[in-house]
Amino acid sequence: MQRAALWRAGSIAIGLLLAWRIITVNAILYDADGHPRLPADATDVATLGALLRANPAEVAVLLILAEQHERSGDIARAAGAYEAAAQVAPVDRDALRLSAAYYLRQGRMGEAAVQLDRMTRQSGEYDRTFPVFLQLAAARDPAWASIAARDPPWMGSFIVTACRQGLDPALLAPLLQQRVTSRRVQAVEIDCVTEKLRAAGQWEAAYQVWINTLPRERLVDLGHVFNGGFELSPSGVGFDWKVAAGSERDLGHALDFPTTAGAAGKRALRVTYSGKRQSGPAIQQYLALPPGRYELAGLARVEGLSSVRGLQWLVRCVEKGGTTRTLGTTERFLGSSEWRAFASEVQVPQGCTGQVLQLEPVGLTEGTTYLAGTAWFDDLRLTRKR
Amino acid sequence: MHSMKPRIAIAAALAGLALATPSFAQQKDGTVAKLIEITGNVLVSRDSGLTTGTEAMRLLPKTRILTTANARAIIEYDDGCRVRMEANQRFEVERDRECAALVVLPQPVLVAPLAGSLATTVIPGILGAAGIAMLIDSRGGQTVSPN
Repeated sequence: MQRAALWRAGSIAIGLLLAWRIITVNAILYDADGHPRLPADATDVATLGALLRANPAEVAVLLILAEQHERSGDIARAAGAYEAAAQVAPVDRDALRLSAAYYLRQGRMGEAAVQLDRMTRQSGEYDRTFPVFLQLAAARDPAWASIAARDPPWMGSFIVTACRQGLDPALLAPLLQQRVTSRRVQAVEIDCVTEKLRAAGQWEAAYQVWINTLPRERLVDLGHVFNGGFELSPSGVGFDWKVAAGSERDLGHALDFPTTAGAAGKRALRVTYSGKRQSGPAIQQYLALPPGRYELAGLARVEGLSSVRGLQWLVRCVEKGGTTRTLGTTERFLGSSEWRAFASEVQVPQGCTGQVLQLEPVGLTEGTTYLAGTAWFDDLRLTRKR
Repeated sequence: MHSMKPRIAIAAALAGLALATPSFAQQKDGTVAKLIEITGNVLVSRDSGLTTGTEAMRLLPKTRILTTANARAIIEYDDGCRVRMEANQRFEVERDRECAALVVLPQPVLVAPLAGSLATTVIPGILGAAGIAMLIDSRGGQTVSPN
């Protein structure tokens, strides 16, 4: 009994001693925010030395000493201390951040990138690490290439961030391709990169990036108009159909792809206009047509479509800066009719590398337009004329 | 002897012309080449748009060939000229051009990032400062030391 009581009392005493030591050590090593800090005087340095001797795995001590060595110009010892800290605590946020900063100061990009990669994987501090990765990527630094080749879990977020912040989309295209191959790519990544390439006038590259993301079965019949039969729901990505975003109340129309009889295939596009003012195209698709003469054809059916001037499909050339000019229009759809075929001619001139196909009320760009009723479309296609 | 000279000259000129001008055998359907040794997804232009290329598919002049990522193909002209296409390249089937000119025609569609040797040697200094600033930002602008 006595032995047990003594054992218990001893354990409590050791526990209290350890707790006291942790409190005092932490008070010396960390500031109020929990970050390592330097001692104010030499006494503390001596304390640090003693602490390190007592516990060589004390990361904060290693980091503080590393910085002191670096300040005094003892790079070799500084490097040793940072490396020791990184080895002792490979997932410690401060160890990773401070050693990464040290490697950056020394111009040792490879080691810095490795630490930043670990830091990003551990704590996901994108706001802190992505700006550095952005600069490494923009500089075509081999350190970046090495990290990117591993396709780390944060790469999707980096592609979207870098894309939105204006990194050359041509640099992002290979990263995206790598993620396509590993089947980790997300629609938001594809859409951002293709949009940026398109906006930069690199339509052919944008189209190539997009087709590289399509599954084999979708490549069998790409067509000049992709998914012109509306058999699959539009993805809104790249050169697929893009549907106007917003509520029916805001847009003045609703759009869906129900199964229907009398048209081609199973499904068709249905746009229901509420009679309200129209602010833009209900649906559109970017195109990358080579110069030449084309026939734009399809099937249409209208149900009580009422408007002053009607509804039509347009093909516009998209020029640098986003301005457009009309290359061809279909007939105007108005009133009511059963399914019927329509066709019109579109001429794509030399120098017009990118176009957009849009469904919109006639005169949308000229003034206020109102539209009520329902329009159906199916089997939309562009065929090159010889 | 004198009368032989013009004949020889004409024959030599004709022979030279025959050698200089590529002679493409054109099939009755107008095709001049075929697609062979396809790996991956290779797309071929048609009036209705791009379609997947198949082995031994016959090709008309002005047909565009597009290789996707990880794809390869060879366009074999009927005269034996072989144009090799690598991934992410485009090529337009042309006739009346010499083989030496055709084989260099496939163009990369995606611009490969530049090696940027200058950038890699100059930028780290700037990057270091910016990167470090970014990394220590969480400490309210302070480094490890409060001193």
